[in-house]
Amino acid sequence: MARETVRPTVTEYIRRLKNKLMFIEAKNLVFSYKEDAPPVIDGMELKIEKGTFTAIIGHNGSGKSTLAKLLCGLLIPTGGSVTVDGMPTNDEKMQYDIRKKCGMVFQNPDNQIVASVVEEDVAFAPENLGVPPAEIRHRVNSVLKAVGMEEYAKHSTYKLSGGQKQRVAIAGILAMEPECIFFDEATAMLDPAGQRDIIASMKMLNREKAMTVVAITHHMNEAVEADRVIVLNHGKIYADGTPLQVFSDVENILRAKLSVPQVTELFYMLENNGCRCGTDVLHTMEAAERIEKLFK
Amino acid sequence: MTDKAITLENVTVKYGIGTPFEKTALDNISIAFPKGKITGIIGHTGSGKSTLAILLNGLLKPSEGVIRLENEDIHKDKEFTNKIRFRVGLVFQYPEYQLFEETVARDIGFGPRNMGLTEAEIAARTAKAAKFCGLDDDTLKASPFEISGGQKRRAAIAGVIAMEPEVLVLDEPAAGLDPAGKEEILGGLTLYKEKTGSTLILISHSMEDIARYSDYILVLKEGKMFDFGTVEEIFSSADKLFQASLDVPQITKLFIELKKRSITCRSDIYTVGYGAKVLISELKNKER
Repeated sequence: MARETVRPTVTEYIRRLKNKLMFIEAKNLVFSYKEDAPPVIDGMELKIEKGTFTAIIGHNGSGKSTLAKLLCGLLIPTGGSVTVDGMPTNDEKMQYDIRKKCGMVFQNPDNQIVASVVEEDVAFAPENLGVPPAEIRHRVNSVLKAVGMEEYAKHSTYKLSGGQKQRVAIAGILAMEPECIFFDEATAMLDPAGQRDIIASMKMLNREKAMTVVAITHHMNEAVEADRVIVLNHGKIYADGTPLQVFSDVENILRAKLSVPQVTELFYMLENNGCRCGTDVLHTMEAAERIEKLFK
Repeated sequence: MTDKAITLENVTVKYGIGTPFEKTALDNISIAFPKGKITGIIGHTGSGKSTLAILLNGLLKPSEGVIRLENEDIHKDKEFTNKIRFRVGLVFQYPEYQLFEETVARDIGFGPRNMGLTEAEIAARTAKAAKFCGLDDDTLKASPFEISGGQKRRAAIAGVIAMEPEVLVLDEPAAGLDPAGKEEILGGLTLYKEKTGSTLILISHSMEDIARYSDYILVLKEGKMFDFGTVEEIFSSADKLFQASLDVPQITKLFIELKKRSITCRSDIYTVGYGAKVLISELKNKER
């Protein structure tokens, strides 16, 4: 009998390494709100690695928000399983630890802000977690700085603009020192400047603080900033890849009742009119360069 | 210039007058909203957009200045102001939270019923409004609490349309909807405007939607009128919009960049379809 080699193959080695980096894992995930209702999430396999920035897009009713709540343990699967950093979300004893690992920023910051003064609001979660006062002070200062709101520490929360409130909400989550932060359509109510602020905060958390970021969004300009885009349709994963891979297949995205960035749509129209320009473009500057070449 | 539907003359709104929290939400605004057109209102959060919306149907009285509908002061007497509520329809942000009736049809009929119309007239108006908003018979019979988010939004808008207002003010009607849902609602509203000749005022943070659906744009900044003009006039000054915490559509940014690189001379492009047309014809010209 041939002796089996002890050394793992390269693929096996990478697989093991990836498992180590695995943060959230959903296996055959099923969820329905009522027993007799059709499932909102219908047999999903999904892995999210530590330190990645994932965007989840899909039309209304595709199951995006439900999936987000399942992945951070706010909802318990009716079938299959979700583990967060190895802890199953359906294990009640683990719930406290899971909540500490994952924070969520919701669409409307008014639903999330509890105190009338900015720094008190940010201190709310660590106070509840029993963090010592000196440590709370330190955390509040540092997270307000991280989201660029340190000047507003003593301000009233209700007088802030939408984008500022949303940044305070993010700071409130950061003060718990979670490893992962979910944004559930967190830019939907904001003006363009507010949207730019929050997208910049997401990138900062991911790139500088090495946090795992999951953003659920209808804004394609937000999705293109992620490392990975997951498209949901009828409770299943419809497409999964880099923003370029996902959005350059324009017809596929339109079939899922979604849209692509405007420059991608433009290139798609040009392609259909006989220009050989491809549709693998997401950003304004690349688009300009590509068109410049067409004219040369 | 087209006719005016509703006008504001030197309107100022102050909140908390005489308290340390006094705040000027709108500062000396004078504007005439063109009749039978769609005017988009854009502005940063806190710029006074929603205050302006509630002024237009008389829910809020201006601290100074006059608001006129068809040349009549909407606050001339109480009875008249009450009638204004039916003539100027207002759809709030997230109107689906206001649904309350047993069925969608009854919810849509709530406004007309309050207007004292006959049951037959109410039914006719409900059916008509539902059609504009793309709601089918099954949805009309359902409870407003068991339909999807997009359908709820459409049901709430239908409830205002059923009053057949001359002026329809919508505060972020498409916020939180997917692209297809957005198009259904904004497309339906455009159709409603064309069929009935009513005036639409559309508040939105989406520069793409405003560019696509509006005829005119009002830009608010810190409670003041920052700019007013046609879509072309407003979006041609991207730098100015940036100052007001706003933006231009990505397609417009692209054409501004192309102009800088002297590839095309057009920077007045606001929709993707038109942009594609321009590029295709310019490429053909070049081949010749």
